[in-house]
Amino acid sequence: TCDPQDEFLDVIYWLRQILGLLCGIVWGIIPFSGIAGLLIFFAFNALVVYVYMNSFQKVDEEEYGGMMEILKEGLMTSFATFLVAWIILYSALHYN
Amino acid sequence: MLADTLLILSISIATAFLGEGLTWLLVYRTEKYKKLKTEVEKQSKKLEKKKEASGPNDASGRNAKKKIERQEERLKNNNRDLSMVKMKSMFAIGIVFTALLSMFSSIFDGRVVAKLPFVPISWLQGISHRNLMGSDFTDCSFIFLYILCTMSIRQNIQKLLGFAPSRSASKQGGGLFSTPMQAAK
Repeated sequence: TCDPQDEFLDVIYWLRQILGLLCGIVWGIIPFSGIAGLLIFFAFNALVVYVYMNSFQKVDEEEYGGMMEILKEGLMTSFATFLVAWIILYSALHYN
Repeated sequence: MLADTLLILSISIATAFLGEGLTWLLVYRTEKYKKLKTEVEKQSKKLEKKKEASGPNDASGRNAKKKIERQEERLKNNNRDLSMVKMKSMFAIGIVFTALLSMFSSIFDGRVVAKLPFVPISWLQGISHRNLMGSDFTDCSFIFLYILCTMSIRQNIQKLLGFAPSRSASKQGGGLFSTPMQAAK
């Protein structure tokens, strides 16, 4: 599609996926554990997206149906990716 | 433990591709689906634009509102047809997957496949600790890891292959979750 709004949301989506994977790997290596690890991930993830859209893109959030729409884009998938990477590395490095 | 987790990861990649392949075979490549999908997308975009143009203040009067309502009705019908087309094959795929899943979970029965770095909240423990002995709730069962892998991999594959539903369609339409959003506006 050539819709610029869709394209921007796609960028956010893939940014989130990569971020989730990287966070999962880092969290697994350090290792983070407990509820704090989850909370830090969510905070970090939202922060990166927020900073990206505000300082690099300067988008008008109203065009996308509000801030929440952008913050929600791809969040669950990113979270799942993060958990998989975190769990696999955590159990491989610290429980074998 | 690592071998198990990697095996589960590859199983879920394989099943995700299998699922998408089957859906492609049964749904995505059919003319009816293609036609309906482009139709729904076109209508959703149009409707979105019209709604924006008329605005919440309703300056353009009742006529425009009626037009929008009529279009919404048509979109709803098309959406329903679309999900009917999908339904049949989803049913078939569901059966195949249930069989596969029960086979895999019997292979991994009672095995701790991973260590969770956190204790899941209580209503998830039934899944994450399924068929495991002991009361260490950081032990992870096959099914929990498999579900997580599938959540992440399947969606990304759909997105990569372009099978994911378009945003304007899911926003305008027919999704179950769009109704409260629309009402809130």
